Amino acid sequence: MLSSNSIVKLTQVVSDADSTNNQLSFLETLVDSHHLAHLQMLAPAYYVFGTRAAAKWRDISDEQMSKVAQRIHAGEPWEEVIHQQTQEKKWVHKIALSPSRSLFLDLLDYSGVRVALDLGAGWGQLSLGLATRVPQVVSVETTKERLDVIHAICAQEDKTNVSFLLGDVFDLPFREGSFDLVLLCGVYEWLGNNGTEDDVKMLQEAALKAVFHLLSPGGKVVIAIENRIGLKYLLGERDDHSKTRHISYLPYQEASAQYQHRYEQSFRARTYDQREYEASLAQTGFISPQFYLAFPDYKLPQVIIPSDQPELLRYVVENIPMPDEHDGSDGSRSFYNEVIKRVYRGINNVDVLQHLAPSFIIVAERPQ
Amino acid sequence: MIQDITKLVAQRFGSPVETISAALLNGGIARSRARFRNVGLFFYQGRPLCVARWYENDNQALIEEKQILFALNAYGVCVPSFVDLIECQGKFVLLEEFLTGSDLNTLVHRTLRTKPEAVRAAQLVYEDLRTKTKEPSSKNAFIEELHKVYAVADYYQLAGDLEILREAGNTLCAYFDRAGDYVTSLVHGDLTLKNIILSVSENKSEGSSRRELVRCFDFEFTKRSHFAWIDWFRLWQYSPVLLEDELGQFEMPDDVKPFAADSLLWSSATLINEVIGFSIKASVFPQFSLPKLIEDSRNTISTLCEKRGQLPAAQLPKKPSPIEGDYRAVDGICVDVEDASEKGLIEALFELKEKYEATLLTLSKRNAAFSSAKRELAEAQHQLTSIEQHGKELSQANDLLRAKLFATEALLTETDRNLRQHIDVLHQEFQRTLQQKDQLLHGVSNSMAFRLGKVLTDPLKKIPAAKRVVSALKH
Repeated sequence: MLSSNSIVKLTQVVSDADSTNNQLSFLETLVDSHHLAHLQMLAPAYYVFGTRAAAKWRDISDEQMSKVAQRIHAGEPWEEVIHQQTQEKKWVHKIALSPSRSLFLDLLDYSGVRVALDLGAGWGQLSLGLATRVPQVVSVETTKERLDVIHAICAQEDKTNVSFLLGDVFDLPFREGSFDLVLLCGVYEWLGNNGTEDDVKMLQEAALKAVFHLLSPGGKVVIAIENRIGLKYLLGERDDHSKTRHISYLPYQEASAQYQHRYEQSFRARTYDQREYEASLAQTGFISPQFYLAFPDYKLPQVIIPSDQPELLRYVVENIPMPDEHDGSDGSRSFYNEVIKRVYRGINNVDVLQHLAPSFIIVAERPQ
Repeated sequence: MIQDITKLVAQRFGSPVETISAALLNGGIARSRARFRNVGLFFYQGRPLCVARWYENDNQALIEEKQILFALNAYGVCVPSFVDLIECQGKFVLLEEFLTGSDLNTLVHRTLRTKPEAVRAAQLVYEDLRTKTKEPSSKNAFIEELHKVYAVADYYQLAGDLEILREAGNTLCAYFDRAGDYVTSLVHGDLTLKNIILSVSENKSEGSSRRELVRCFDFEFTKRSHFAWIDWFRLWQYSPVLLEDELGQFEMPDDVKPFAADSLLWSSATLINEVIGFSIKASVFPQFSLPKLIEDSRNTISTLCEKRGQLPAAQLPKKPSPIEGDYRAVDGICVDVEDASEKGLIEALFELKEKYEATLLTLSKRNAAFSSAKRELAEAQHQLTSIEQHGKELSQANDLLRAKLFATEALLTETDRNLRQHIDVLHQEFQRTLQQKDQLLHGVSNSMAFRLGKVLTDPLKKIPAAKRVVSALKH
């Protein structure tokens, strides 16, 4: 005789298996027919596609990630497990656990969004947040271990509308127009790190084109990224990616040469300013770009203001305590925090502040 | 979400949606996912219109907040007016008046107001809340609320000895008994300078005179309580620009003055405040940070218990939250940076920071090497312990064997001795038997000889001739 506990567990296993199968089947419906044969099954939960070398960013080692996934799958509360695993690395801890990470999801309009794609899903906070807002979410990551963790978290949170794919943005198997919303949060700047020496901007725009084709007409892309001429960088704060001062705001060729000279490596994590982002989006075919200014950055935003509302920005800077700025490479408080806040107030009346915000959340649309 | 709320706000205020814009704020950085709160600032053609608050996963909390705001409005306390409670995407959204102006903490930080000015303004809010919402209560209700505090302390084992907390409660109870004044009021729960707005309005009816309005907002933790003083304590503990040890330099509200004059009463109120402060944090912090929170509170409460009645009144335990602690530390750094900048030392500071980072890296590498060596040492020690253990076991076994050997030897000796004795006995018995046999044989032989002699003699006696022959033969 089975005990009631065993029956509950068995039911859970059966229901998990059912939902996994449903999600795999759902994913298949999005895949281009001639790519279907190339999908490989990995574990019971997700597919793998593509063989290109993608940038594989790691906050903690793959082994540690695997342990995290195992423990979450075994039933330990996911926040507790990640807390224990990352508490020594305060920045990673915040990135992985702070609900602020997904604050900007409240900016977006989800009417008509049926399927959302979270490209470079990281620790899965955005996939998790999207799962409560849209009917279906597809989470794409470049390492199996990260995907294991996201899968485990979603399973624990009972988010059965999330599908998983191990792959990378340059080589996705999906049919054109499969998604109504695509998120690139902290991804676009890293696209140059694909193991080749190809032109960084070209790679980034190629990825943007790929995203454009994945979107349905009227679908939206959301890019969360740093502003290369953010005031903190101008004042001397380290670039989030290269961990180098006074480099992100330089013309790319000069920045690249300096970086090469200093570290004997290519400068491949590239960010832009508002006008450059606008140009890239327009060149790809996107329309109606909306820029939101994220303070202290898009990673853990505390204040988000539309960049086309200068009066609003003025009011907020004048009256609301602006959050402390930080060094985006390790989360430590910016050396220039107080100076930055003073400058914000000082230049508040000349309508340039929107160009000097530390980060942007950009929403653009594929035309109907 | 913000776009849907914008539509609802436009509808509520009867304005075209294009005229409404919004900024999105994070309503608390150290919150759990369940109590994560968003704040939207809504503007009509660039002018402040209303503030919206909603929780990610907690509609009930917002309903309670709405009721409190409603009550505060009814009491005529200096708070924002309630505008509406709307529903958007299954979440309740509380709309309230937009309090224009800056918060007192910011004003002091920017040196636009002095600390005494800010504290005076805060005191106005404190008194406003305490007096306008005051309701008579009873000793029983006071004790009941105290018991809730004990229950929290007991559940999380915050106090090593709960009796000290009970004594603190009794001290307060005795004080209010003497004063004969049991009252409750709506206690804000998070009355800090950051939550008090100073608005300046031009009074057009009286020419160009300016009027300053002080109002507080954010009623997430507001509830009716007997312990109004916790608002005053929290003001000093959690306003980044105020320091706990400056508290004694400022005039206190009327209801706190008697505490400041009696160190036992003061420490009792401080202890109760500490437990209530803990329960406020525990209600919004994520589960994983609870152990640290408990540990911190235990330490503070234990210090307070140890020094109960010894600490001078009008002092609070120095315990800034990590964020505020950082804030103060950074304030110090910023002053250094500004001075350095003026003296042209900024580059030197940079170098210093880079050196610091490099040293940190080296230290971290050394630390890693040290950790690795430590691990190896621990491993070796473990093996050594294991070997020692084996050695001990072997030695024990050896001792056992030796003991067994000794025992066996002793047994053998004993056995040998016994055998020898036995052999001796046997030998003696054998000798005796032999002797007996000899004696017996001798006797038998004698007897036989006698008998033979007799046998031989008797017939010979009977035959003299033969006797003679024999005799002759003998000769």
